[in-house]
Amino acid sequence: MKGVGGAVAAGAGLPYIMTSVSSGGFSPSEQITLGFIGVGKQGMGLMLGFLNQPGCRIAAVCDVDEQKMKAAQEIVDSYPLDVKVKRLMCAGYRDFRDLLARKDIDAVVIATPDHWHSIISIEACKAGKDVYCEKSLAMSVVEARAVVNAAKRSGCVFQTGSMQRSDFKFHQACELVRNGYIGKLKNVRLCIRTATFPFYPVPCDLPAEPVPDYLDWDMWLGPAPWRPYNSRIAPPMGSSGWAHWRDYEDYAGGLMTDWGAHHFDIAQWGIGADDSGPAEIYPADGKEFKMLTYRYSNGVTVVRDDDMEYKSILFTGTEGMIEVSRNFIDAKPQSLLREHIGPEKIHLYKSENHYANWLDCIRSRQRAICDAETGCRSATVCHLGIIANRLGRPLKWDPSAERFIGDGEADRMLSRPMRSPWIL
Amino acid sequence: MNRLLKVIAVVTIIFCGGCESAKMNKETPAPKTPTSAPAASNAFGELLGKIKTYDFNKSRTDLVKISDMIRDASGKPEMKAMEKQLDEFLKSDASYAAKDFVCRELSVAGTEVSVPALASMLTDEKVSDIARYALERIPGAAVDDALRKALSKANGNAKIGIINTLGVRGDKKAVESLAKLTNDANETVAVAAVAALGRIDDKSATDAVAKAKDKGAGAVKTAAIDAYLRCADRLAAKGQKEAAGAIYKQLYAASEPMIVRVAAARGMILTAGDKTSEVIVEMLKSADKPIQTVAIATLKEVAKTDVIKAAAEQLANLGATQQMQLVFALADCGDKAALPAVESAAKSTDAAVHIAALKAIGTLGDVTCVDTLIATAAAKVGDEQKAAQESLYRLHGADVDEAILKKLPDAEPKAKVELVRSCEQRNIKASVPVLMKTAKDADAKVRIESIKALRALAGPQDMAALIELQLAAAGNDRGELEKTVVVVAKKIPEDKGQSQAVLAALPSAKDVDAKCSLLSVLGKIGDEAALPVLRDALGDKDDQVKDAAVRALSDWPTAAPAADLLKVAQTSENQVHKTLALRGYVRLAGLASNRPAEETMKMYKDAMALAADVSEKKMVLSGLGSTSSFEAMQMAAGYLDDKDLKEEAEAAVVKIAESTMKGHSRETKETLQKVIDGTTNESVREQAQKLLKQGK
Repeated sequence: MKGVGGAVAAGAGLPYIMTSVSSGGFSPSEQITLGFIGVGKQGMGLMLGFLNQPGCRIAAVCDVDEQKMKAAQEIVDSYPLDVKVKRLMCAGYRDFRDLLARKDIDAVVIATPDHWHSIISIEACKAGKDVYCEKSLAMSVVEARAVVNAAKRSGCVFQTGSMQRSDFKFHQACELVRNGYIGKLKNVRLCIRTATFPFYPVPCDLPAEPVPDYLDWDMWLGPAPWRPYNSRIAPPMGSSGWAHWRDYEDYAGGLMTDWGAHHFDIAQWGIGADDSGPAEIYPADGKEFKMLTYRYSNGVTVVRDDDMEYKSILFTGTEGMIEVSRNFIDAKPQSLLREHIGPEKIHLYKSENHYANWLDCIRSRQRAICDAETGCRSATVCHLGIIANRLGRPLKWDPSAERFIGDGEADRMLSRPMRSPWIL
Repeated sequence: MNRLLKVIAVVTIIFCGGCESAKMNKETPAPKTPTSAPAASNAFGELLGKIKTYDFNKSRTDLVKISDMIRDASGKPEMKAMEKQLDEFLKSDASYAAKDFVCRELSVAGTEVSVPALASMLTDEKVSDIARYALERIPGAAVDDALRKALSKANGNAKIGIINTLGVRGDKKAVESLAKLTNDANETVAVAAVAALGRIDDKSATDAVAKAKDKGAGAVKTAAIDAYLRCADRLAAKGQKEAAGAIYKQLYAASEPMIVRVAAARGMILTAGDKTSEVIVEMLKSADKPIQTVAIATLKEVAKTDVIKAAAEQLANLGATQQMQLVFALADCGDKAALPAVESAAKSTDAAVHIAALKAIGTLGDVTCVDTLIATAAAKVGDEQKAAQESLYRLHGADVDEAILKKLPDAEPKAKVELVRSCEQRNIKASVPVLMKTAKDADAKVRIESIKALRALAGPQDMAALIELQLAAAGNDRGELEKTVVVVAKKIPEDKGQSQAVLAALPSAKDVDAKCSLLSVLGKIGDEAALPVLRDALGDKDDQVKDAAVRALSDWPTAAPAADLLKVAQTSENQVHKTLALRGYVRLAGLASNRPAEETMKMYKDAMALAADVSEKKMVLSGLGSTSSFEAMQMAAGYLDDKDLKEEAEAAVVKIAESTMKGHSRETKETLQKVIDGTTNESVREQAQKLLKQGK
């Protein structure tokens, strides 16, 4: 099954592994065995997060970068565990399919660059694993929907890594908004500005560099169009800062799908559009729309406001406002923040820890707080903004059909053709 | 600040990805100059000529111009001529990177005009993928025809790619060719063909998949099973439930892998129509736990009362893990028909089932569940108590609130505590009069919980009664009541006299303790109307009252009483008052303010002059660190050689340096270097080094 970039060896790219079925559930005393796919900076952070969670253990890690894979293995093997937990020697893989073929692995955590999310998530579902996949869920609307379908079909407990949902401040803000504490919601402004990354993804114009011997570059590219290696996209272990694959259109969606997948996700939650989305998208035109603007069918507008003081989300209603970020929550009037929301009001799904919520749901087979559908809808909002910006014109969107209205060109951009042999 | 960030962002984008990339990020489109069609065509041709040797690392300036021209021409007559020029370009000896760019453009703007040029690339493994990138997105039968023609000529990855694209496009005319390829000697090709057939919405495609499933082996068979499920899902989505159900039934067979059976089981449930209950019950009786589990997980998708009831009746027959899952699923469905089964499960001896049922009662239960939940919350601890409490807080129905209020006065202390908490959590405003009484309960815990609940539930109209409680209380109760009075006072609009009720009560305070308690509250409310009263209290003959006034002014939310505190710190003969006033003064100096930086500096200098010992000086330096002026850094730097204050001075310098680096770069760097050279604190050294590096 190896060497997919050279001679054809993988049927449609994928082995249709059918290994374990964790969906029978676990008793509270049973350990959930995890595999990690993608152990770069974010993957490593997740790994440390899960190592600190009771009730799970890590049996394998996978990365196309051998150095990162080995470093992750060492961390897992040397991490102090609860004496009651039986230690497993952590296996290392370069190809995610080999990890998915392990029958003893119940669930996987995916933290690869975005262009791999959908394929690996879908293959993990097919292999009977429960899935935690980093945001943004997928590189296109069609891919995101395919992930939802695969998760539903397999009965997978799926968690999208938009972990702000498990932060009490965002929960409180959205619950107050949904219950009308700021009156009728009129507008949401959000700021995703980050100095070192572009708002919209750009074509990759980096020069070719020799491929390091520890990196399987063809596998790193996977379904993305071929281009030569450059260390800015796939930096070696120990590089400071975040890898810049986030900037480029073949691997991610710039800040729109990076911080956007967090903040638009919260906007969707506050609006109550977790199974829906905007009806109109207006790219910045320098006139009526100074900044990217979405309009929902209930009249609420969402504006990506790059001039806000904080990297926050500001909900404005007819009778007040609530601003929330990872560092603070504020309201006008301030007394809103002391409100107890009674039983007859809307109570949003509450999770205090994104990892623990997923593990708990694997046991109970309940829906996780940011399931595939939620992740799909939030990623879709991000992609719609990117498409509108690319085409430079307003677009009308049908959230039920997940198609644009009367714009064939825009519809074409709802999916991304994949490099052979990869396919969803 | 925002402008600065924007500048940094743009500079960084240019630095990181070239100025052409930055153009993609501009929110305001650049104005365009209108050009005539022939002139545009020539200009377009010239640009294409320029990019023939384009490589990935070269300037994208001309590429961006081409993109803009294509975008502008999209849907207009001139697009056809431009598309032909692009096609000619693809046939030329242009570089791979240049053709890759053109194919991406055609993927959005291309039409059937481009098909011949793109099709000619399909069989060449080097460029087949980029040609498909365009073709897969271009609508029209001509694309399908071209793909089918190329299929028989292509090899290797190119062939796989063409098969994949035919599947994605759902080309019904490709079924025959793809069906033949399911028997290809190359297993990889056969697997791709089976998968592609599974994507084509056509009976003959489904039949071919079924055949491959029955006759195929190894990877081909596995792929066919997956494709067959996809066919069934599609039929179900189109409403052809019978046909879909038939496929699911085949795949549910015990001989199939469990993961397939699980997917098929869900499909069977969703297509079972009026037999859904029967199917679910049968699955719940299955010996296979994954089948039981998928039946449970699919309940919500069905969401019909008769089905939910039928499933609930099976609850007791399941193992503990599946019982827990079913209880959660029943709660998720939200149908009260499941309540009797859930209440039975609440009596389970299995902890996980018991707790799941307690939680489910919160969703499904009603007023009849109040007693059980109160009893459990009062008698148990840990997860069990938490589950009962949360359910009590979520239980639906106005009659639940009435029941809670009715039980509250006569409940046993532990139950009373839970009832009081539920009043707060359920936001029962009508409970305020009862809580005013339980705030005087004989049981201390009941009193404290009641006072806390009043914090959330009482309103401005209750201020007088709360103050009365405050004045009558003692010890811990009074402390909690002070907090409650402050919180409730702040519910009054700022211009409507937040401290009015407290000020009105002040003359009637019977003893010094009561007076001090009210002064403390006034300080925390911070209403301007109270300031003269507190200033007066500074001159009170009673030391305890003075003490309370100093503390209250130290709590003030603005720097308004700073001068008063400074005076106390300078002139008081009572050392405690001096110290308290100095602390308060330093605190007020650190509050956000519009006063000039020089004034703030003077405040810190005054404070430092008054600081009597090392600990007070440390406190001043610590406050100084929150300012952002060069003078503040100079002042902090003046203590770097003082062995007692060195650490605080270093921390203050590092904290201030970030804001002074721009305007006083040389001096800041020198001071940071002094910190680096002299500190023994690794963390401080690292921060200073980082700042120094950023400043270079």
